This record gives sequence, structure tokens and C-alpha cells, in this order.
Amino acid sequence: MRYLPQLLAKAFLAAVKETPDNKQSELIKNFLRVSEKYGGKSYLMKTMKEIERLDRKERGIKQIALHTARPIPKKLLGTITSTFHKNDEVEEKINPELIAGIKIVIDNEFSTDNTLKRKLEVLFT
Amino acid sequence: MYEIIEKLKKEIEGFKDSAEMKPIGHVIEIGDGVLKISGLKDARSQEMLLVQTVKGNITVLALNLEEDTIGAIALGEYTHIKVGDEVTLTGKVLSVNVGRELIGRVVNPLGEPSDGKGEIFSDLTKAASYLIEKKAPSVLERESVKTPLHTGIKAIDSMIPIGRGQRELIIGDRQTGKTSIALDTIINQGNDGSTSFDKAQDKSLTTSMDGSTSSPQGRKIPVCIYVAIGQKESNVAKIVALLEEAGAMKYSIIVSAPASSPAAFWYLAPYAGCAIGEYFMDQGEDVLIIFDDLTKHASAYRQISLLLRRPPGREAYPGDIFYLHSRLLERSAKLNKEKGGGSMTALPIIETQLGDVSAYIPTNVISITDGQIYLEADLFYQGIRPAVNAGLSVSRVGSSAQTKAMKKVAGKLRLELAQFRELQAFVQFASDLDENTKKKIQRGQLITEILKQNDFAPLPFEQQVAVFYATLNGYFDDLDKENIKKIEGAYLDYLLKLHEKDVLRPIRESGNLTPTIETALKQAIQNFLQNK
Repeated sequence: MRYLPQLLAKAFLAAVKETPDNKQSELIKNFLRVSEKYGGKSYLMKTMKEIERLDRKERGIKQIALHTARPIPKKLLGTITSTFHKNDEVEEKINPELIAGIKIVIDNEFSTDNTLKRKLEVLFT
Repeated sequence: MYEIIEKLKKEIEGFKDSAEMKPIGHVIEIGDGVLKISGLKDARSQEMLLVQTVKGNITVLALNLEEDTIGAIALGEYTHIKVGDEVTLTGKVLSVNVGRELIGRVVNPLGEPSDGKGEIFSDLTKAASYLIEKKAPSVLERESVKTPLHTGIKAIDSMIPIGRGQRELIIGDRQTGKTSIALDTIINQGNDGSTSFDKAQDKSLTTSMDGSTSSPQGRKIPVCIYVAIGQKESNVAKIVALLEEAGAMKYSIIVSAPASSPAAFWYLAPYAGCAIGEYFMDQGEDVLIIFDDLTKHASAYRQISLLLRRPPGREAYPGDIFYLHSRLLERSAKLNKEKGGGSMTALPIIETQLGDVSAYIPTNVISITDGQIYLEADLFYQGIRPAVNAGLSVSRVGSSAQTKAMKKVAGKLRLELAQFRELQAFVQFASDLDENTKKKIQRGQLITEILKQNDFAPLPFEQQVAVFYATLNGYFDDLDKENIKKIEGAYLDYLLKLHEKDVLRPIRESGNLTPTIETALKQAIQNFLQNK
């Protein structure tokens, strides 16, 4: 049975906490071996992303993605970024399909969509 | 053009939209219409979720709520869904729009039209919305089954009577006439007038103020729902054409999840049909629903469950396969007067393999239903059609719903048939048998011939009574068995032409065979035999 990367990431973080410092390198080796056995490189990358996400969550750091149709002017970007906590990781993503407006995604779990694309969809459905 | 621009302006003026923080999830796996979604911890079971794909939003149905993921089935073109697509909640549990406008239409399990006749509801705000999965009526909301639902098939109405609100299984091998019995029953509802009689001379179906349809006899016709699960589209088209030709589409609805549709549609079709039926039942109307067939439904559910990685059990079916059918069939009921007195009669169909009724799904459904009509391939090939095996077929609640007239004339039918079956082995040595046994064999052969009936030719209940009365009281004993079908036809013609008022109509109106009617019937039979 192949475990989901989410489960493996959870297990890894729990193991890190329980393992003494001198055995951490052995733990990483074993983890890589298990990940490779399950699904190779792509599976490992997914698991790594999940580990990063869980680690950020544990440290109270939010990952914020700003989706816009065009690059946000620096001044405006500064204003938006200042509304978040200084430790939060803000990332800008360009997607011309959004037409106008902004969509903010927090930790890939919550989003607020204020784009023209969504408004048009709501208007015409 | 000006008008369109004005309309658009109005729409935009009235458009209110505020961006809110909403939980989102992502597709992490997709295969064969089954998805795994991460996130969306607040999703409810059976909730509709929206997957935002490049080609627009696709609705999926949440079935498995696990610790970190959601297992869902796609209700649209799943090939457009990609890993990483965003998923949002809708807050709505899967439901179907219902209303009287559905009558005469062919719809898919989501209630969308599939007959090319355009939109079903001119105003969607007026359509009611019924949950596809709903709790069955409680004990207190029900009452016992006591009104008959005539199938128009002699072998069934006489020996395995069905009542309104009953669940009667139709079971048999492939090509034994299961669907024909169901369709005959639908067609017969338009002719059936066993309780009240309308003095109006108009023989066409009439529509009353509340929109319900009445038979020529003035009786409210049950709304008939035919649920086609995994059938060929050509088959469904044939059924629609047949019902239209018989005038039965005026009171019928077809819910079709054709063979080409995904397993999710096969799985949802019976529940959607049931939700539509419940709408009419809640209006105090009678409903007849046919599930054709639950074997395919079980296979579709097995497929979905295996793809959702639910643990397989016997024959790889999931552990809740019994509950799948019991929760569906429990929704058929006869409601009490406080609840409007409506009813939903279910005729589920199960296909057996080589007559094996002890397989997993057949035994499950046999134990859930209130009886079964068992069709036997051997009888079918012997030319006994409908191929009903009277010994293995039973109706557990129908006898209390059987009309008095039928009970009176056909009471000894089963016994005579059983006695004939025992003696059947001696038919070849008929010359060496005593007179009494010979008579029993001859009577049995006569009854077998009388019970034969062509497809799509249901017989009104009062005519059935007249035929059984003549047969079981020995009036047809001396007639040529080879020509008995012709004689039966001539006899019914004679009664319809000369004794409609004093025999057939009184039986239909009263549902009883009073001494006066019996005397008139006896006289009519004697006259017929003399003039034959």
C-alpha cells in the first residue's frame, strides 16, 4: 500500500521530534530510502513540500500567494505585504486569465477571490 | 441589440458580489471519475463540491470524508480535471429539482433533460428541490398496504397481488421478461379503474385542476417512474417509444443513466428516481417506481467503492452493500392520512445468473422486499409467458390489498396449479390414469394456457376476474385447449359488447363479486357457450 505524501510527512516530522540529534542523519537516510521505494523522485518532492508546509504551520508562518493578471506595482505590493505578519512568506503569481483584480491564497487552504474572472463567472451562470 | 444591452445593464446593476475568505482544497489524485481532494476539512458527506478546471467548473460529490483527504466522484466530464485543480465547497447536499413538469420527460440522475425537448422548468424558482439521499418515512408516518395496484398480468394479479406502497422484486435470468412485466404494469395503470368509476364518456386520460392524471374510469393514475440503470441508449429509446405509443408517457417519467454514463450516474439514478417519487408521494399521490436493474446498481457501487479504496468484502462488494439497497427500498411506503395518504410502490429488478437466487445481491434484495416474482428461463423456453414460477413467487403483504372479487375467484388457483405440477410427471401416461387425476391434469393444462399472456397487452382487472371465474368453475373444461386463447378472446369480446353494464362495470366499481353479479356472470357464460 502506498501512503499519501501527507501521511509520510506527518510521520517524518513526528520521528524528527523523537529522534536524538546524533541519529538525525540516519533518520533522513531511512526516510529517503522509504520515499524512493514508494514513488521515486516526484513522490519525494511532494512529500518534501508537505514537510515544509507542516513545518511552517507549526512555526506559525503563513504562505501567502497573490494571484494577479499583471505584476503588482512595487508600492502597492509593499502595502499589501505590510498587512501580513513579517514572518509570512508572500509570493506573487501572474495569471493573465484572471483579467483584473486579485486572488489571495493562504496556506493553500483558504482563499479570497476578488478577480474579474470570477465576477464574470458569477454574473453569467 | 439595444434590448440585450439594456438587459445586461440591469443585470450588472443588480449584481452584488463580495469577496469572502473561503476554504479551498486541491485535487491530489484523479482516476476513472474518482477524485482524492486535500483540504476542505468542513466538507459534509454527500456535499457537492466545485472543481475549477480550465474548461469551467465541474461538480463532484463528496463520499469519503477521511482524516486528511476527501474521496469524491465526478458528476461531469472528469477528463477535464487535473491534479492541482482548486476545489471549493458549495454548502449544498446533492438534490434534484422536482415538479409536475417532469412528467412525460426523460431525465438524467441530476434531473437534467436528456430527451432533447428543452428545459424542464420554465421557472426554476417554482421547482421544489428534493434531497437525493433522504431518510425513509418512520413507522408512525406509515399505514398498512391495503389498496391494490393491478399489473394487468393475470398470473400476478391472481396469485402474487401487489398493493400500493409494497416493494415487490422481479427476479430472473436475462431475457426472461422482467422488463416486460414492469412496462406492462406501467401501461396498465392508464386502463385501471378498480375503485371509482367516472360517468364521463370520454375515454381519454383527463387532467384535473391539481394537474394529476385520471384513467378513463376516473381513478387517479399513479405517477410511474422508470429508472434505467446502465441500459443501452437504444433500449431506453425503445421503451420511451413503447410507452408513448401506449399513451403511458402522459403519466410517466424516465430517469436514465445509460451504459455510456459514468458509474457515479448509475449509482445515483435510483436515488434520484426515488426523490422524484417522494415529491409526488408527499403531494398525496400514488407512485409506481421501477428500478431496472439493481444488479447493475450494485456493480456500479462496487466499482466506486473499490476506486475509493474502501475495503472489499464478499464478491468484492463493500461492507455497506446491503444498506445501499435497504435505504433505497425503505423509502417506498404507504403514508398515513396525516401525511397525505400518498404511496410509493417499488418494483426493483434483479438479474440472476443461471437461476441462482442464492447469490449475494439477489438474497439481499429478496430479504429487503415484501415478496418476489420469480421468472424462470425453462418456463420461458417452454412457451409459458410470462414465465412466472408460481411456487417460488410470493407476495407477503399483497393479499390484504387484493380485490375481493379476485380473491374469491382466484383463491384456489394456486392450489390447483400446485396439484397439477405434482401430477405433471404423469402427463405422458394420461391413458393409464384414473378419471379424477386426468381431470386435475386437464384443469392444470387449461389454467397454464389461460395464464399465458402476450407482452404489452395488460388485461383490466374485471376482465381477469371474468376469465378466472369461467376457468376455475369448470365452464371451459370441455373446450379445446389448443384454441383456448381464441376462445378467451371471443369470451371477453362477448362480455364487453353485451355484459359491460351488468357484469364488468359492477365488478370494476365495487371490486366485489356479489351474488347478483355472480348470477349475471354465470348466465353470460352459459349464453356465450351456447352461442359459440
